[in-house]
Amino acid sequence: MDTDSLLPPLFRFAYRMTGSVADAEDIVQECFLAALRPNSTYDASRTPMRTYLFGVARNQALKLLAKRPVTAEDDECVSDAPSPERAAFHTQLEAAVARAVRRLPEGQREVLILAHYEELPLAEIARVMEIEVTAVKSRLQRARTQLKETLAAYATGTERRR
Amino acid sequence: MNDTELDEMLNQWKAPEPGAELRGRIRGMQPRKRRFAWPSWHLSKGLFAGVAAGAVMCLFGISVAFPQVFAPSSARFNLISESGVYNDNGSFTVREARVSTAVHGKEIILKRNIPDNVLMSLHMRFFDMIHQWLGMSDDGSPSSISSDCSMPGTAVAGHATVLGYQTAIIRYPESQSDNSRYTEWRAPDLDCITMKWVVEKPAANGGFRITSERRPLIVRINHAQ
Repeated sequence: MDTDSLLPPLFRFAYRMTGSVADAEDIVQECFLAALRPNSTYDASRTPMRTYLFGVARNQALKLLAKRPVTAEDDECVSDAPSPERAAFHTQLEAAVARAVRRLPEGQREVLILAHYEELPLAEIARVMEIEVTAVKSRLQRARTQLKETLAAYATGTERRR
Repeated sequence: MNDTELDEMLNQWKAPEPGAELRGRIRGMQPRKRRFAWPSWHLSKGLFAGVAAGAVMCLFGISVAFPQVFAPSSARFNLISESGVYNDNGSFTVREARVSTAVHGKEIILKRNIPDNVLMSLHMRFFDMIHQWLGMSDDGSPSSISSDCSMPGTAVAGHATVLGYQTAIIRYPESQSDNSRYTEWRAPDLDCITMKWVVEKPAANGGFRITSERRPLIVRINHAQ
């Protein structure tokens, strides 16, 4: 198993799903444990390793999010008055994007992260999430539409600063 | 906002890379590839002893369970004989007793005993059994023996009657190493079985003395031809 190539995308996915480095580390570790333990359900003849690991990471992340109460940070609203400093603006923009993505409905969030950030093909996302490809497309479209609305103010801000 | 602008905005959200500690932990989880390794010397000794003990038990079991593949009564005839050596004082010591039959001049040992040596008896039974199996798969013409029991490179030195059966006396060339000579009595009516043989060695008086011999004791006919 090529852990060096699989670890970064899994970690990034887990981090973006949970917003926590510690949780992402736990999830990634659990992923590899699941694949390596003697009674592993992984079947190389049926599923590519990457797909299997993303599936495990997704389940672990959902399980963890279900237990975790919504924190004040998660609910923090994006400031309506961004800093005039460029660096500060980008920091705020990054936080705003993170919050906007995390506020997406669960199914849309997973699809967006896997499609946009990890650049998984739609068919592979469908296998990871065990849904139809058409459902993946639909969720991705809805997620992007939602994000365009949520981040519209920042888009204007970005244009102003160019 | 168009799709490109959204993508640019989404790309502002950077995720950290996994730390070195996590990488190390994950690498440490990798199942080690099992390389073939010869067992240690102590294990080898134990393994060898175990295999040897198993082989002995197997030998014993097979030999007891199958004292002979051919039941003596299933052969057309049985020759019961004993063979041994002559001691310096002229006495005869039996080294082996056997029940045998023959197919086209090839003797098949059905049963044999080594007096006072149970382990050797079992050992010989095992090999006799193997030979019987091989004999069973033989095409029936293992040797180029002729109907009068003569073979290439040998001469029929004469004829004699042994236990009521006419035999051809086959004399082999003298041994180049110790000048011993080997003579056997083969019975054409009994598939050219060697009913008797003697080994003679040069004696001090210039003649030959018998040093070992097979003595035929009984011929038992099981089926009429």
